[in-house]
Amino acid sequence: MPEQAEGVVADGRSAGEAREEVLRVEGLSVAFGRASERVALHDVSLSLRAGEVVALVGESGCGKSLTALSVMGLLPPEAHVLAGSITVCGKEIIGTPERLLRRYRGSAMGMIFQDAMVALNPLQAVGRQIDEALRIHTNLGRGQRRDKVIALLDAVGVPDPTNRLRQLPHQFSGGLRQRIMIAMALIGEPRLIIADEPTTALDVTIQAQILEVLKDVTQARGTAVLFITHDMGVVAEVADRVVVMYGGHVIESADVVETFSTPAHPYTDALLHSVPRTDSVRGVDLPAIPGSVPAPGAAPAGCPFHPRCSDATQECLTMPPLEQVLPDHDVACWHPHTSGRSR
Amino acid sequence: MNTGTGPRKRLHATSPQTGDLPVQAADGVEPTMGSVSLESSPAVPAGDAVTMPRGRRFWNKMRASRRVWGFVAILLVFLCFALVPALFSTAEPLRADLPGRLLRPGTTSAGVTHWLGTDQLGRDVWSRIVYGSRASLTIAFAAVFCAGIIGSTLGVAAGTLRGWVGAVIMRIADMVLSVPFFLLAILTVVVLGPSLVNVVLCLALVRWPRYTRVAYGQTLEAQGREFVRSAVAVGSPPLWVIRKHIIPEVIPAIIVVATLELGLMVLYEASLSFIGLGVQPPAPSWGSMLSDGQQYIGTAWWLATFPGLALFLLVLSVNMLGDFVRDQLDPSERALRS
Ligand SMILES: Nc1ncnc2c1ncn2[C@@H]1O[C@H](COP(=O)(O)OP(=O)(O)OP(=O)(O)O)[C@@H](O)[C@H]1O
Ligand SMILES: [Mg+2]
Repeated sequence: MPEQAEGVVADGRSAGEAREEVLRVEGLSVAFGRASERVALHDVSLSLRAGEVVALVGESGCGKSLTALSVMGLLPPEAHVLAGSITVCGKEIIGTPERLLRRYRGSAMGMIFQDAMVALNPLQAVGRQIDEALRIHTNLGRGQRRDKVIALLDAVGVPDPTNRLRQLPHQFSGGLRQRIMIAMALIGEPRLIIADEPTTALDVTIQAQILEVLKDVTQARGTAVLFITHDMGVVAEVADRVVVMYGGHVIESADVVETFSTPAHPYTDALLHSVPRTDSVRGVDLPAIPGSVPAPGAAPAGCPFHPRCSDATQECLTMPPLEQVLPDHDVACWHPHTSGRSR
Repeated sequence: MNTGTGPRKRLHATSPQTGDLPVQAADGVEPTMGSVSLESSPAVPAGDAVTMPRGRRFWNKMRASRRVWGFVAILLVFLCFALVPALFSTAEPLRADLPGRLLRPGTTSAGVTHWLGTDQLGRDVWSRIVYGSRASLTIAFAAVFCAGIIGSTLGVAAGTLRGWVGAVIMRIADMVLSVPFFLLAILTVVVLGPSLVNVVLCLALVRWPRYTRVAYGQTLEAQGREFVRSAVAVGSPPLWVIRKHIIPEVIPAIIVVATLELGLMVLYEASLSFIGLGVQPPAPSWGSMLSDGQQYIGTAWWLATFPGLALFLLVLSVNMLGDFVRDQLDPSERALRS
């Protein structure tokens, strides 16, 4: 077994470049307001390949959910896309009519929501809810759909799926409900899954199990996962690559190991240092980053992090471009930390 | 009464699912992958008010409440009257008998005992009340049905489309609700002419906004709910989402409003008949019996008293039942069901 797992990882790493690109976001800018005066996403670019788990991290309000909703084509009506393109499996999302987007949702890309307690309809049997994507996107017969639902429930670790299909969401525990949510998003076999803080509503032990399940089922199917969280511990557990956002900008993008060992952006560095570590005495050495995330429209000129940055200089009053500092390691900073300086 | 703030306030007091949800009974450790689980049956003990299906919980409450049964019995009696009046009446409700006019209650004439007396044309008051309940309940139910269908459809449409269509629908609803009932009713009946169908039409025309407002609010609330968003995220078409996820959320509130409206419709029908715009004579109706009887109030008290009593009992029992249903199905309480 371990051999096989290693094989998968090795394969994933080496064949990484050759893998099909599932999601590409390029130069995405999104704004709110009548005159689009509050820009919430600035020139966001990221990409995911099949089977890859990319963590999208950043403090609250930095635009993670907004990026996710843009990819799903589910931006609220008050948001405007100013520029950019999003392609999922080669299909453009921006400017595509709702009728077509509906066809992509659930079959090309799916979404797992934060709180399964409220993301499942309390009045409908869970089997029917999982089945929804199949009924919409395929013309499989009743029995075939049922078999698929049962097989998937089994795969995500819902015990006795045949009988539990008919039960209502309140008859499941929080962890099982989140497994059902995962099944609901995966049943249409999308190539891309966006998980927006899927475990924050759960307690820690169950969190770990859910992450495990999510990783297993997506890896088995080669599904790409865009994993949104602000928990760096979770990032270390699931991600292959990390994309860090701040104030609507992507400021760093790197392999997970590199992100943790040699974070280049001062914000990433600070973010990592704010992770409570088990060896630290509670409340003593958790350096909070001073200040807070700027609201859209109230962002300072230049790099949005410079008011909170200890390395800031005059140069930081213009926004640095996202540039490669190392192979596969991009950062948007005039004074990136080098491997020597970090930590 | 017209603005209907009572139930609305309650419906909107609902916190949208967040906040004080009860913690699921401790069903312990999550089963690990592939392991056999102990929780193949619902982990929460049966009979727990929180997890019981709505229908069963409703039934249990109802069984526990004696008072409600009294009112249900009264309503059932009137329903029986309306369905098979011939079984309960003691005389032909339309047959006049001038020699036997204005007989006191309990008098026997020509072999028939008039338990509630006779009216100014010698017709049996009891039989007319029995037959009158048919007009009353038919019109009330039909009016509630029409207004409910029209009103909820418009409300769900307004809540779904929003934009200017939604705004126009809701403004019209506000306008209709602000026009005094009798003004609109008299206008409709005068234009269309008095008939059973027109009375129903007129009542529906006046009352649909009540349902529209409630359906609109519930639709907006449902659309903000996460599960509607997760249905949209798997590509459900809008009509599907409405049918599967929004309508089930709207229906309980509409049932509450409909039950409360039923009593009001009985009163409105009686009022229209009272001023001669409802059921036309000689067909028996409580409203027209009341208006006929008021001329004789000094000499033949029973003419107005008994139809009034019938009206009072029916409206009271329908309203008490409505209050009960509201307390049971109130969405603010439904939030407890997770
Ligand atoms: N409907 C909206 N109208 C106006 N501003 C909005 C709206 N939705 C989001 N925003 C703004 O866009 C910014 C990004 O929001 P987003 O929800 O993407 O944050 P996030 O990174 O997901 O945060 P969190 O970690 O708290 O979920 C926020 O500053 C927010 O104020
Ligand atoms: Mg978010």
